[in-house]
Amino acid sequence: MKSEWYRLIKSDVFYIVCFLSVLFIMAVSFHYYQNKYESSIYLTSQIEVYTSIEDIDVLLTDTIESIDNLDENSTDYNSKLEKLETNKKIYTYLQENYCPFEELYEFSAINGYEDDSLVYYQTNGNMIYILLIVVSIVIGSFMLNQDFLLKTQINLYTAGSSRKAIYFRKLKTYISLVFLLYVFMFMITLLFGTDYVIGKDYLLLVGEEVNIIKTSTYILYMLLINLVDIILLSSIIFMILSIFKNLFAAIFVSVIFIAIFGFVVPWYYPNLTILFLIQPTLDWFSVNVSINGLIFLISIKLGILLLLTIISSRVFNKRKLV
Amino acid sequence: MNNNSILIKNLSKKFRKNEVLRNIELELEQSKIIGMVGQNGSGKTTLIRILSQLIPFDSGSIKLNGEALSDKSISEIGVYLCESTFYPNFTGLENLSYFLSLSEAKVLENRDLFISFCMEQAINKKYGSYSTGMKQRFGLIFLLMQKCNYLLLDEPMSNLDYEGAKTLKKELKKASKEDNKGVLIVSHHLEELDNLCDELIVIKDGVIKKIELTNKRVIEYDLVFNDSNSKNVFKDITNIEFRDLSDKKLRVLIDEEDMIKKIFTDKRINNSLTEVIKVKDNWQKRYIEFKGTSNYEE
Repeated sequence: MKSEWYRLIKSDVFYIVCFLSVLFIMAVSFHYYQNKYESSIYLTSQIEVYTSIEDIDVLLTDTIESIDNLDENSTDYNSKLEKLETNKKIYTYLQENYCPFEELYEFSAINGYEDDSLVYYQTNGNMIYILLIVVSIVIGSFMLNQDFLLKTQINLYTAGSSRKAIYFRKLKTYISLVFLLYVFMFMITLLFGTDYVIGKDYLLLVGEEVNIIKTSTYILYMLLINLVDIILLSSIIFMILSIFKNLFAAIFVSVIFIAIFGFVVPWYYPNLTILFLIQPTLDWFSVNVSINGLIFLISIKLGILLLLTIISSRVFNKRKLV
Repeated sequence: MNNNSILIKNLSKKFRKNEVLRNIELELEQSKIIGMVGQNGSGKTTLIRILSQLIPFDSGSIKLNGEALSDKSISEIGVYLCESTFYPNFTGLENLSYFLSLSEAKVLENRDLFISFCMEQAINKKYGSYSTGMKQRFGLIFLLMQKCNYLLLDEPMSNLDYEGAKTLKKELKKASKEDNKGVLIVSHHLEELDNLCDELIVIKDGVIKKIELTNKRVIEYDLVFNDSNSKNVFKDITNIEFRDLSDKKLRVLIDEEDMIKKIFTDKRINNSLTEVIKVKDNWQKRYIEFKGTSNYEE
């Protein structure tokens, strides 16, 4: 692995990719910083303003009463009932997990350049994700396919190490580079985002499940999911690249793969996004997956990663190298 | 069968419909140098590529030290292919460090090779700045530095000058005799393999033909007899390889210089001879003239 790193840091590609990635993420952060604006509370659930827990009790009682008094013959009975049921769920939750109204905001209502940590980190997180897809293709093709272009593959794969060992050595270096770049770019995001950490503390999630989560916890989850997805996606890109000898064919097929499974399919089937191996979005709450479900999905993804790695190394071991 | 060898049995390889190798049988023992000659497209490089596991084979078997060729075998076999290169942005030393780290060999252990191949100055320069000959010498240094028991070389002297070729031969002999390495060296030119190989094989149309070589000098003579009867008497009483050139003329191949003296001292022969012409000898000629593969021309 040491010598792979040495090869990387001796190449211009490495510096160009790192420099451009950092520059891009700094530009995004700065752009966001310049365009931010103050805004008040973001709630679309039409719950009433409250100042204390006693107020929530009153609001909950009122909501229950309203449900009981709803006219079943009314034409908008169903929509009213649905809205009230949602509010009832929210008030019940708020009653059990009390938090101040001014620190609440709703996940689905967040957009634009609001002065809030969540939006800032989410925007930058997505940018880092997309950027790392590009970086993965460039670095992966440099590490794997450039040897075929230069014809160094003959010396490389006959020099004494088994092909599998070289494959894993390259894969480990590649993944650690992606990981380090992710951490580094997130550090830049943090550096530019010092203004945003004073944002809201709680996140109200309205869907089939009502949930309240601390924003910082949510960001932490996002980072974790993002990291797992990025590593999985980078590894898949690496595996695709390893099938090809031709540098340009390898890049072309990887880009097509990302375009189809990263953008086209999620565009047509947004609710299934989280189930895909490629998930270029961080708003996992919007697809109603519980934290346990999420951990399960991450485990499955890691299992798939392991399986794909074993299969691809075997395929690579048998392929023609000249 | 020797357990310290690469043993090839019934090896065949096709590229689409073109059968490049047909039922190849060969054994490369440790401490032995085998030279392989053949025309372009005869399957020499394909065989080297198969042995170094760069391409798969279709049928047959390859055993290394008694076991089928596998992942582990890579550390046992070092390969020099003339088309292979190193990273142009690395210096020679950086390239060696990088590639030798794969076989856990150390550059420092074999620094003498830089001097032998006149590369001690160039080793700190970028590989991309090397001339074709320097690149070849560098590739050979890399091969000789590897910790392996078998060396496979494809056209290793194609761009070497006289001194370079001499050094390579010396180093290969040393690797074979002192370090007990088995060497398979492929070339277009028989003369390149002169005074180097223990065994010489010819590959033609995917088939290997073996030629036993001795270290004795091989000389060709054209013998002109008084008449055809005398010529036939000569053929009957001697056990020498020959070829009829005409009714009265015969070309003979003699392994020992003393042999010709013995022939001359035999009265039956001496009296029937009118002329003896010494023809310039070499292995290539012997191969063409006496092994029946007369299409071989370089």
